[in-house]
Amino acid sequence: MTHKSVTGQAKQLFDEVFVDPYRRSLLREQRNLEDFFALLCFSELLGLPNPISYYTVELYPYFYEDFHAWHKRMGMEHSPLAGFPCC
Amino acid sequence: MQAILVAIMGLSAFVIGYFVYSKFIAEKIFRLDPAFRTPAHEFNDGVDYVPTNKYVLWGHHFTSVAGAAPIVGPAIAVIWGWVPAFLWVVLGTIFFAGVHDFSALVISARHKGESIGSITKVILGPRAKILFLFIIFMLLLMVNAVFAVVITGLFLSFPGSVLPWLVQIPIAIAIGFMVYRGRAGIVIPSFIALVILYFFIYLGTLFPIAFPETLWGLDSAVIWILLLFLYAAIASILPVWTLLQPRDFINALQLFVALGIGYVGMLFVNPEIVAPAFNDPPAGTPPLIPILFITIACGAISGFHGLVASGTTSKQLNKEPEARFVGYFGAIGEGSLALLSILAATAGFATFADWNQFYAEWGGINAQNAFVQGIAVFASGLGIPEGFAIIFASVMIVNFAATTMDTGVRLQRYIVGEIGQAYNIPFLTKSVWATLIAVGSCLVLAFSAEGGRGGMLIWPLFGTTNQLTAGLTLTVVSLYLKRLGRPIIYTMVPMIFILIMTTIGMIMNLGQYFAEKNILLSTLGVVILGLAFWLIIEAIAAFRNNDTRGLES
Amino acid sequence: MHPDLFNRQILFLGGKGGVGKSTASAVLAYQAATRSINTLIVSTDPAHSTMDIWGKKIDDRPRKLFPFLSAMDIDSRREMKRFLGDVRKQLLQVVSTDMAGAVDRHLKMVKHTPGSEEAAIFEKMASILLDYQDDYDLIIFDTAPTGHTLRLLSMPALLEPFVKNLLKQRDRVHQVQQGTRALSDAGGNDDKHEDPIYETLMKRLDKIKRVERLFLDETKTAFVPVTVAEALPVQETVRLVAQLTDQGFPIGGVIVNRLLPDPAGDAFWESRKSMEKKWLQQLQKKLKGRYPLYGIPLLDDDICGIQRVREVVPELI
Repeated sequence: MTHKSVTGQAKQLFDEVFVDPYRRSLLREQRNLEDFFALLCFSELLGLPNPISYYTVELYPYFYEDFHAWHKRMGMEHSPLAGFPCC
Repeated sequence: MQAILVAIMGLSAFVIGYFVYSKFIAEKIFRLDPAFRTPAHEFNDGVDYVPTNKYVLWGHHFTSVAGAAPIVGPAIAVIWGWVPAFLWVVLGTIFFAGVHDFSALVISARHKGESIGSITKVILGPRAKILFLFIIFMLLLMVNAVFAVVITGLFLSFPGSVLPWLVQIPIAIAIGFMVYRGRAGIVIPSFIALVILYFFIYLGTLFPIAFPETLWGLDSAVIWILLLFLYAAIASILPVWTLLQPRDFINALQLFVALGIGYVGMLFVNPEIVAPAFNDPPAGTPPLIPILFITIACGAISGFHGLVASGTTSKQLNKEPEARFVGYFGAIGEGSLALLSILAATAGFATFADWNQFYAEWGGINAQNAFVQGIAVFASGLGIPEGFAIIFASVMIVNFAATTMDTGVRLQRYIVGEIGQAYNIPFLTKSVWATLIAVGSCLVLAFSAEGGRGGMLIWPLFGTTNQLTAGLTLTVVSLYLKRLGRPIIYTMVPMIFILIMTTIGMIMNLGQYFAEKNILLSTLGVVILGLAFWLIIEAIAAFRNNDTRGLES
Repeated sequence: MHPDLFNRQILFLGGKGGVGKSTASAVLAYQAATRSINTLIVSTDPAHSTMDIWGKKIDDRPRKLFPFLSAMDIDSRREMKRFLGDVRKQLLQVVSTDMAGAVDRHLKMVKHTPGSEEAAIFEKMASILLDYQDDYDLIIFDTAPTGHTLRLLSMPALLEPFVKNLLKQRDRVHQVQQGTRALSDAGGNDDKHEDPIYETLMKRLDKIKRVERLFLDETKTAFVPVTVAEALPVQETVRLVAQLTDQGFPIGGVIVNRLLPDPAGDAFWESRKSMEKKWLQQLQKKLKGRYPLYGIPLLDDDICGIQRVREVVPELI
């Protein structure tokens, strides 16, 4: 084993053992913020008036991938968008 | 006897326990299935659910569960001599903690990675979930109060620890901000942070910070406790990335450095254990049975581990059989720390007389100081100056305890908020009020212990609550095994054992609190005893009926 | 003749239903065109009387009627169809094809959500303003009845804080993202990751702001209420002017439609004419004489076809 690969492995181990929990805690906060953002965009689904609901429609395609995970996290077993495909 | 010999005996027992007993439990009782699709794979979201290499996951798990408690408890317990503490730590780790941590991990992994609280609801019913919430609230209350007292004890005994502790706060915040702003990677900043921290440990030895014995009519211990809770209240409101996470990160590094220095230093110093194998404890010390078993909680068996194993670690389990290494060996890591604490507190003294003088009075022990001094002696084997090593070890415990307080107050605030929501008391859901209630209740408890100087008064309460939590987890696991038609003796015996010990211990403590007319501790004792009986009744009722709730196919 | 109005680049004509907004718009547009002012007239009124006036089919693209005069209209249903159609196309790229039916069902619901229609009209109006501003010297909007017009004009003030808040939240997401990226293997790499959501919202905000700026710029834009000299229309006009000035929209003047001809001694018409005079004075008084009033005479027939538009010459009262 070369010297370089030893330090490389040490760095990887350090990263996985110590840095990873830290990183994931930030990811968790990021996810919470993204959830809140989605909530603002789709607030009319929860009966809150949302004057820009027509415009947030154009954000749907970017949301689609995370949409299923989002409504699950928000405690809605099935898609709140009537007939919106995801589950 | 030589400390190294004891260390070797203890560590070999751990290894044998891992290779023989945990293998038996994993293969014959739980029948772990390599083909089982773990929650980490089923719900992989890159954040909570992430399949993780078992050695790495062990690191995560171990650094989450290790803290100040496995250091303090054993250091107290050596007052009965080193053998009882040693045996309870070794056997407890092998037959109690290992099985408990491991099974909490497995049962959570088989229930979508849910926490033991949710699983309790599924397996024992909704009433038991409320019991669980109560126990957790008590546990947090105890942890915060006890750790404030522990930190205060360290600050009073080793005033040099104050400066490095203070400095670590801005260091952690600086790392937090640097990372948050996306300015740099973490490897170099974290090593710079460690260097700065060690430099300030050195400065701390030169510039100790202490309050006068009394200030504004307040005892210096009281002032420290007030300041610590002020700190905890503020820290618990800050976003996790500002202080909690970066400091957790530094603590994790510190933990491995300390374990390394402790065990390796011991090899060089080769100290003798000066404490007797069995000690005739000073008057006023409660009897070994049952108090030993609630004095050493973390390090022999601790309900707190079940909370980490379920709900957090379980979401990262890559393959079911790896639960054996992560959970069981995680307990062994904790056992090794407890073992180190025993050795430091018995072999770190020059003579028996010194040791005997330190352990002269049950109520007055600052057990953490014994560990600190012991580690300093071991570190001298590596050429580390004793003054430096003392502050190093002291600061490590302080930081462990402070992080725990920060998290503890935070969790307590959530629980207060939840109670506020459940019973429709809106002001409880406001974080300021919830924090005040959390901190206030802890403060009262901390002061009940002789103005903050008598940590020994509330330590048994902490141990009892911790064991109750473990008892609840073991009950849930046993019930689960029973419904699967597997042998339950391996989880039932530890459960019955600790429930009996905690109940008897609590009754004895209560007698003492009543005699001292300590209304607060008496009340708390009654509440905890009530929770214990509640748990016993729930368990008996659950084992009597034969339903099959909570069985995942 | 109306130098004040034709100095502007954008005119909004609005008022109570039935007062002849389309007539007034057509007359203004024609007068502008005869002065070689390259004019675009845009109808946002669902009633589509502009088409009746010009006698030609008008759609969503400017159609040249004759030199210096083009016309188009905004149909909210057509705009919604186009907008949602674009979204649908993009969505179908990310969802599997067998879900197309479900996508359609959902978008149909969005179409019927309250506010969607106005949003669609506003969106198109904004695009016209921003896209055709340089192609024409003057754009005249023939808007729908009063309440509708006010809501349309207040759209920027309503939307802006919402979009800004969304952007702020998105910024917070990016902040944390920076942190997670700093902790990733690469360690603090600087290349900014593109966020289509952020960019879409930024574009939206930019458009709203530019339109709002245009709305409020009195050197470029004027709102011209249209009314007739009768009790209710005059009252409503006074209210409309007050609301518009409240929100800071510049008023260019008021057009009074269907002014009676000289009664020529007929007692009945004498009486009507004096009523008209009274309401005109009332209007002047209430508006404190701040804005010029333009009059359009009552004709003996509906205005239909360019021929008739040509005949009408508005006058300063």
